[in-house]
Amino acid sequence: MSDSGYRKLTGKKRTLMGFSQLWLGSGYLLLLDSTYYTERYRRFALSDIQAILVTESRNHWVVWDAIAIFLSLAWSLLAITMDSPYGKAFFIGSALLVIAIVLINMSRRGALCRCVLQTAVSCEPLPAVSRMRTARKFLAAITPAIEAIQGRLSPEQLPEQAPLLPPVGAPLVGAPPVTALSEPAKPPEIGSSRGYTLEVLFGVLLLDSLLVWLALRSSVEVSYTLLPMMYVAELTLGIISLVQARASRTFPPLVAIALVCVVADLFLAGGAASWRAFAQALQQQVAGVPKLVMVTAPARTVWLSSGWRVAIGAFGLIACLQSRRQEQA
Amino acid sequence: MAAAVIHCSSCAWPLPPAIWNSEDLVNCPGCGVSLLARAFPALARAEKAVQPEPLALPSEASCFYHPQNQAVTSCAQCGRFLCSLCELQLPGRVLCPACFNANVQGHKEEQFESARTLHDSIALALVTVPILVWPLLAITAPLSLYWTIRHWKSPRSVAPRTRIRFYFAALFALGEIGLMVFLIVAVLAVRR
Repeated sequence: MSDSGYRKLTGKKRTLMGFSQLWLGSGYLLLLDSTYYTERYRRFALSDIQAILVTESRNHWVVWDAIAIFLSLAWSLLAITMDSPYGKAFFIGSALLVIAIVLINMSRRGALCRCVLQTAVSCEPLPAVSRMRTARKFLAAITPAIEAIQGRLSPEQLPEQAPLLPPVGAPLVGAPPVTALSEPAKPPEIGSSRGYTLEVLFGVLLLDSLLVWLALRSSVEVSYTLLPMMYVAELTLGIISLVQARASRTFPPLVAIALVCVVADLFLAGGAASWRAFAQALQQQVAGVPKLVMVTAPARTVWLSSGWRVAIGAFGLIACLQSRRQEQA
Repeated sequence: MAAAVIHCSSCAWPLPPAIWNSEDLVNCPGCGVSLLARAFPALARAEKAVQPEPLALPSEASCFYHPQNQAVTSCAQCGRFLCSLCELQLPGRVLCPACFNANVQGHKEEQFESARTLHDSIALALVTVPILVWPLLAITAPLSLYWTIRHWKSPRSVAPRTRIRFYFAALFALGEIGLMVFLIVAVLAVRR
């Protein structure tokens, strides 16, 4: 415990606008929310804490990890503009180094989690506890402090079975009857609409099969108007579709294949072909003799870039149509 | 016994007591998410609301804020008589709501304050952020110096925090002011 009477329980969980941190005071838990210039304090008396619940998240990713990896891949593309092998090695090596650091850091920090502190009158989320490792350390530190004040929860104090109250906001239809106290209860299935993101994705792939053909057979200016827009749209829609369709059996593999194809296309086929032309235009610009540079991608690259989009787009749309018919039936 | 329930924070389903206080991760019977649930005796404790006693005789001491209620104690700061509704029990003493509020406003009850301004971070920002638009430093550097002196003894964060930001702010502010004075003198000397 420090001179100020507070003991640090967690590190700073930073956000764009500030950070959150937990401290143990004399007889209470202090939740500190900072904007860097002001601080807000919330205190929870250790005698009032009823429960602490930590739920593990399935993924290890945070948005910043994904952004760092994406930016590193974009950085590695600059290697194509280099003539020197050392230059190429620098760009590719530095990008790989950043990706490796992100991946190592990700595995070191472990799974994400959500921590909630329950009192008689509220359930407070504790954003400072965002990783399972932090959660275990936090529980190891706070549990003895609470038990020193409240004592241990003896088996006699435990109810035999949790009352089967319907959760707040859950529909009453289909909820287990109250008489089924001895049987483990399952919550009612709540059907959710799939939405039309998948149809939009496969439709966009079909449309892009035409656009990529146009982009790889025109000038650098046209190509660099169309291609980045296409790739960003395809990747964004693909990721959203993958998240939304995770409960389905058919679509996640199809969307995953589409995403792999988009990334491969970016680095090996369409994107790489146009990048060479862009580098050539850049060199001409530097040399002071700018002229219209056409993207001269080989025919097989053009057919490959268009072909996979047509195949996945058409197959996906047919699968979506059949899935909708089955749902209606 | 009070209704002892812990709801899953993912699906809001009540968790069976059999999985409370498990050392290993367990699955929620509702949504299957892995979780750790720590339950404490407060969960099974029935809270009793405080009820003040009404005056039995007119000659009895009454609460300053509620004249119809019997006084049970007095404020350690102002001496007013208080009923059980008004007594605020702090470590080692009892205060009335007015004295408690005054103490919190005057930073005398640190453990009950709900917000603080970090003057040291503001002073440091005044000398670092405007570097991007450096002519602004002519205003912000002296302002930072003033802010540092003005708030040197102001309460900082309730969590442990040193004065290192104030030291850096003062150092940068003095350096920037000195540099600007030097530039002005140099420009004037060149013009002559």
